[in-house]
Amino acid sequence: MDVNIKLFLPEIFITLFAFVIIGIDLVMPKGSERKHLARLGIIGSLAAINVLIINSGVTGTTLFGLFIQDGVSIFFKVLFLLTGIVILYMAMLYEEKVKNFKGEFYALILFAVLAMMFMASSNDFISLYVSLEFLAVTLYILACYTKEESASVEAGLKYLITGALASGFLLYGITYLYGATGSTEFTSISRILTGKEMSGFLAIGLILVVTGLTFKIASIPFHVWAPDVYQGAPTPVTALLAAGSKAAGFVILMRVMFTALGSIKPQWVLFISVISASTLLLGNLAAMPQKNIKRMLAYAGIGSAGYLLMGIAAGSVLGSGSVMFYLLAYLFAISGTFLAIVIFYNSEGSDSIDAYAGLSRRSPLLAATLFIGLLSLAGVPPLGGFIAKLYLIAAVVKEGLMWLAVVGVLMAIAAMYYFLLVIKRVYLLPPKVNLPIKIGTVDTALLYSINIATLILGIYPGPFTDWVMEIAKVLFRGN
Amino acid sequence: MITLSHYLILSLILFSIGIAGVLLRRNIIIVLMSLELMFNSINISLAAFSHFLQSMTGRIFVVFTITVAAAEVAVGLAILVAVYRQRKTVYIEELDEMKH
Repeated sequence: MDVNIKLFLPEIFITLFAFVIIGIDLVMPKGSERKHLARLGIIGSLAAINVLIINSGVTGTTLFGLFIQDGVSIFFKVLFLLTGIVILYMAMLYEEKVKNFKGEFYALILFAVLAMMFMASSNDFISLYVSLEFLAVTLYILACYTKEESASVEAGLKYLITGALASGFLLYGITYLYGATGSTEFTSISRILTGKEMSGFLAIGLILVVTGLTFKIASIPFHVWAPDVYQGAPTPVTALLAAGSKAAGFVILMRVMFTALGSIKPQWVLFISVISASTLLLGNLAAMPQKNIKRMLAYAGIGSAGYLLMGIAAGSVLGSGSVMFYLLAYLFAISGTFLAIVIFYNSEGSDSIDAYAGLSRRSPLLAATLFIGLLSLAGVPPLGGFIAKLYLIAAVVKEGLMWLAVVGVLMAIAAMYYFLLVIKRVYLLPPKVNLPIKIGTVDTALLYSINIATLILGIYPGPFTDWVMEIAKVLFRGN
Repeated sequence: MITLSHYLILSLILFSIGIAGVLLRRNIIIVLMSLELMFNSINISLAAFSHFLQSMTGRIFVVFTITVAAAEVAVGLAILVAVYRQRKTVYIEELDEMKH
């Protein structure tokens, strides 16, 4: 076997940087500031993006077909590395808030990014399962990292129990798919299934695999962990769960549903559509009465998973391209919002929505970031989130799933309501204290660039949508 | 003569016991044990499929599953210790701080 090392050079980079961070952390004096380690991680991620772009022409499979590098995996790896950079920066701001802070927090974030990169490249149920569990175990540790806070450890434990239950379902489903086809590699499963009738093993496997994967994307039936974990986990980790883990869940869902099971698409469209519609209803309706902003964003994230599942249910190039565009817009909206939440928490020590009253008079930039970020999540023109939702709805309409499109449109209106409740507090209510909130220079630059990115995706989406549609074709090459 | 279905039924029974344990038991240590039971029931069906399909992949998969499940439960026990130090409890219904 010849191994083409160029295919997984970025992964090697990230692994090296993560271990170097752990190594330096060991020799640093106890209690000293560790922000340079985060900077090192950011440099490593930038280097990995560079390597990815230089080698973007090098595609193919390696390691006995376990690992694939194609347009989709390159797109998602860049997305994950960008997420990683923002999260590392957020963690740097969070450092003072944690007692006995250790540099391994930064290394764990890099490991989580690494796991997501492997998920984007999985081409076999074995590598899918192992990389998925790698991400899960890393996130269990990260979620309960502030172990002095009882909410954080409680969140970690709940995340672990539901996560392990879901991966049990996933694995049981994989077993039956393996039993039905005799293979675990996606392209050969697709080849074996072409022109085959639906069998009992196949149906059981399909239902269990999809059920298991709903945990990662936080949709029904495995959505129960999201509110508690989003609320209890340290805020940078919540942002990682919201932007990174969800995108990683969708890349493997796309690979399984389109590449491996694409040839039996008529059998699973209804199943996915029902999950999508019920997730949309639950997420958006349950977000309304929430008092904590992280908990509200958790329910909004469940709602987003419902939208993204519409793209999976469409099962077309248009559908998967719009999933990718949605995740891109979602990354910027989520990272801006969470950066604002971290800065606000550092200054005020509170995550409750009521504490945001009068923010526009205390810090116009934070208020504007929340305004743009939340309205992009709600899907208001001319922001990135609007274009993304439009494409997803267009994709399901094109496949004839009118009822799903109707649910999507109605729930977009519901989403507007709870996001506008926050914006009303930020802009219209008077502040309790009138002190301005201090924001550093780098924070300001980062907030500005994230907001501009969201605006560009909304005002001039043409090149980006063309790009993702071109990439999405790769997924359907097998059929 | 023991056929594939015998193994699959055994695996299904163990898997159901595992799920029932996770969902119904109050003690988190027993919940973790039930998770372990679920993973082992899956290993039985993987190995059975591997034997009856005459394919090596399933057996390789079992090795990965065992390793990953062990890592997962090890982290679970560590988190449980952290929970116990704070709350002095291992009962799942007492962990409801964030409902309000």
